Amino acid sequence: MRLSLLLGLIQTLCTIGFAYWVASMIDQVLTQGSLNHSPLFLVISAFLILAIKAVASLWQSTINLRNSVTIRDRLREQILCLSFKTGISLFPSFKPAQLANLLTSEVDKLKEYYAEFKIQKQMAVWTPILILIAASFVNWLVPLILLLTTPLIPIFMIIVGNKAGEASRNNLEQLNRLGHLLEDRLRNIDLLQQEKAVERETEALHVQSDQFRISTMKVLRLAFLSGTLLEFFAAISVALVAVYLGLFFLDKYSLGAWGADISFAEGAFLLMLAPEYYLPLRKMGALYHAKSNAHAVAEQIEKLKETAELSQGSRESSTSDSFAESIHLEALVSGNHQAIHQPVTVSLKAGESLLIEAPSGTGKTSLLDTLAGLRTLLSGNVYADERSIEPFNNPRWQQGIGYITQHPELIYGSLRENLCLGKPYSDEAIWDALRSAQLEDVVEQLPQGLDYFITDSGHFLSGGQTQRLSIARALLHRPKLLLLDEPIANLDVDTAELFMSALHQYVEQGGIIIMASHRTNQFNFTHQLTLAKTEGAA
Amino acid sequence: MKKHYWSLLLAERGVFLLGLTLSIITAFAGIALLAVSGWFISAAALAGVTAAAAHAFNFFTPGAIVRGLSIARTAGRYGERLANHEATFRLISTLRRDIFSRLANSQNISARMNRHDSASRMLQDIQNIEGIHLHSLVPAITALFSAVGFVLVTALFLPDLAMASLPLILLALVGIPWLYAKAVLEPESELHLSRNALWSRASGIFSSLRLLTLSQQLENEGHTLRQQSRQSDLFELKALKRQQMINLLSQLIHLSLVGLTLYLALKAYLAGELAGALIFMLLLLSLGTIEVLAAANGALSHLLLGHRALSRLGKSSENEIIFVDKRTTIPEKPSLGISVKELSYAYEGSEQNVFEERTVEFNQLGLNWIAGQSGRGKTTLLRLIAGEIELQKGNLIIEGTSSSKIAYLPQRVQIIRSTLRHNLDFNGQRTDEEIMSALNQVELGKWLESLPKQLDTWIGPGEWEPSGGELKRIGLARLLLKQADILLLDEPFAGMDAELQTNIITALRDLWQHKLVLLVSHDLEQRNSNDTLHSL
Repeated sequence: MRLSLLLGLIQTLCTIGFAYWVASMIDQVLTQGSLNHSPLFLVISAFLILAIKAVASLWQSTINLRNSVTIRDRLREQILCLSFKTGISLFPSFKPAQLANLLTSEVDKLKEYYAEFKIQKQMAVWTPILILIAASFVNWLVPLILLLTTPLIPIFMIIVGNKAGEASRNNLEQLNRLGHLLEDRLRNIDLLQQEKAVERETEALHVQSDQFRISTMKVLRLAFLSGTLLEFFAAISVALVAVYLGLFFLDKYSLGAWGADISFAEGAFLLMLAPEYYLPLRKMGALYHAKSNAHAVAEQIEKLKETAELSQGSRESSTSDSFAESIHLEALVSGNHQAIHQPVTVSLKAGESLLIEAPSGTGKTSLLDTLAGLRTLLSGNVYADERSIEPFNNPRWQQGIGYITQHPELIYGSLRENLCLGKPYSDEAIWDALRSAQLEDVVEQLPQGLDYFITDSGHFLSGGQTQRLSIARALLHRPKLLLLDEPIANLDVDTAELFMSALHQYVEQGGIIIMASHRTNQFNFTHQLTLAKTEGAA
Repeated sequence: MKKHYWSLLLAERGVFLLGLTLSIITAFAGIALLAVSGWFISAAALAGVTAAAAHAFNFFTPGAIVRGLSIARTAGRYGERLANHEATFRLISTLRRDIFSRLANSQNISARMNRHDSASRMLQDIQNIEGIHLHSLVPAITALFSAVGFVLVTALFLPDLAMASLPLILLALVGIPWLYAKAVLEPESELHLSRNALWSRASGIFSSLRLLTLSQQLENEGHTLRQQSRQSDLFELKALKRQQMINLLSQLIHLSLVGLTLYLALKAYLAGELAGALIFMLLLLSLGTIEVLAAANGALSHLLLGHRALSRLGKSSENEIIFVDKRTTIPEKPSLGISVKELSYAYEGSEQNVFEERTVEFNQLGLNWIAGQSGRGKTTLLRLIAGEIELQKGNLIIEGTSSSKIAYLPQRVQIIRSTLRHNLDFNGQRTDEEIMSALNQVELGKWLESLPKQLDTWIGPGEWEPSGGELKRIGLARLLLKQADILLLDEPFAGMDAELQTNIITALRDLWQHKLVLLVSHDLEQRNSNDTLHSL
């Protein structure tokens, strides 16, 4: 930052130097009628001054642009840390796509703020000061004029800026919506085709785009107006100086000089400096949207911080051992500061299974998340093998847990990576697990077998097959406790059958399952409970 | 697509020319302002040398010119920004509609749009097309005019300068933009691609947070993400480095032009060929001109980006769908029925038939439950009957009604980002009462009341998002509103709790007594003795 400011000051000095150069040259030409130095010397000296200014400017912008990359990297780091600390409590306030956006395009919007706005703010202070000092060597009235006209600029900038901000805020929801309309309609074209609504929608899109155009132009009109006003005031102030000087030269006026007279050189010098005085302020005005972008992102990060705080709850986490034979839940209630459901009490041994029935909204997901140590426990106890343990943020506990949700959770990697999740299982063990889940022939037919890369574009595995991968994973890792949240809700009869039979195997081999589901496919659960909402819970 | 863009531009030529003219006027006014001010000061100074000359000097005309130019420049800049943005927006608005219309008729577009990278690229392409006008044509043409203006004016006073400056101007106008395009386009597009990949990975991580946390993989994934992000930053730094080097070169060329101007002017002055006051004017003329030239550095690069975007969009919208409806309809028949005769179907790219030589008759009114083999066969059958996919082998005969009175509810209900009303009635054919009645029949009456603006509430991504169960029922309501004779439902109750299912089915069973309803469901618990069961 220091170097950047220094380079900025060097640029200002060069500006002043060039003004002086021009002034003295014109003086030689007009007053003396001859040149004191050779043309070549004059040209080279001018070129040098301007070249130093150009190099300083480029160097400065390079520093700031690089800086903005570093700062943005740090911001991304901060966002990741906060998100990971918060874990699944991020949802539903944040969505995966929203977070991905924040991490990439939103943070990138800050490029201008860090690369240009911040330095421009500093230059807007120092450059005018230097210029005032330079000018006051020659004259005291001109610096006074410059100084007095300065406040006008920010005042008008603020007035118009506020109006522009208001207009854009009023429009923001509208603009946001219309801006994304094309994308949305393209994603849903097959729906529109089926509904035979394509033509109607095309016209509607045009009308809406026009609306968008009109709204945006309204905002732009005000935004451009503020820039124009800045220019206008700067121009008027420069004109004032020019008129004053003109009158002075024509002997109509003789106020303001330190001595008896202003030489022409001095006059030209002042006139060249005057517009440069206003330039940094105008540049800063043009960058005002950079500031509001920065605010928007800062707000989101604040929200992230708040969510992180709330998710921590009131109990301490620990790292005690996981369990082997049995778990007992005593009056368990999940929640951060408010109870989500009525207390749950149940005992399960190896090979036993619990079915949780709950109408939607009663917090069965929260209960499962709490058991998995992903959410805090409000009250009650969890006993593993008769020892009291605290599941929240407890890595050893979590390692003994498997979790299967409605939507298959996958990682960006190969099939093998998705099954092993970082643990060193042999290929033999993997194939065994796939066999038990009846996925062996499916995987054998994949283009690269276990090395098949799963991304959002993979079409070789159906949704149902991907869901069954979760069971294969469980059979591979053999977690002590397997939690399932509506695992077969989206599966057809046959796939569901395959899934449940693999689940059966898991239980036979000594696992414990807790499943929340409407469908059971005639699975024999050893235990059953109905989850009830707390009175007055939302 | 390219021809189309240019024809659209031509159509908007009024605003386009207005913007361009204002832009050129502004540039000229700015340059002239500098030059004339310079002359004015010198002339005033010269005049001030003797008292007599001072009184004789016409102070006001040049002063007025200066002030006039100043106002012209300021107003011109405001006007040109507005006019140019207006021209661009109008163009893009029409272009978007046309792109949409073309894409709507091309194959596989939904599948492509639902991949984030394709969608993001398409939208980026549209933005790049905006850049053709705003960041390429306008600055380039303005720069060209300014350069020509410079040469002409200097030719008036100093012909040698006009000649000597030509190579430098050519370098500035052509050489630098070309260099810029060559050096900076590559890393910038690599940057964009890598940011997209970063988005995909981040989104994947956040979607699988539970899995990653429990398997203690979160830190690893985070680490990989950070590395990927830093890799992406390297592309940005590379583009930056190249950009700054070219800027440096550009500055040197511009300053050489200024230096050349000064040198020749001074020499001419010393030789008595040029008046003193004009040195200052030419100097400031050159300074003003290089500012305008600098603005055109990126012009070629934006033009290329825009053109590439146009070709990509052009290619995307090829492959027009040609769909032939081979279903046979006999509307005159007195009773409703569907006859499937030896139907075989295989999906594109698949060697195996989904089903072969299937023959079945549906002629019992009321609910017909379809159970049996793997989901794809049943869904495929419904889609064939609905006319969503083209028949291959065999016959499909629909009796008792026309094909426009067949309604299909797919497994996955889609909504668009629009009002609830729009999502239920795409063609605006139903009254509000009818819509609310349909919502009541699917037990969404209370939900409707709870919405901030009821039917006018915006739903969809970024708006009020309905839950899975609500979405299913919205689809069902949409189906009801079609008032069709033949209804095809694919797993309409999946994920709904038993009580809700019972309520809805009881109400609908009454409503559908005289309609032909085909219902694919894995769960046959709601079936009663009056319904028909087909096992496929």
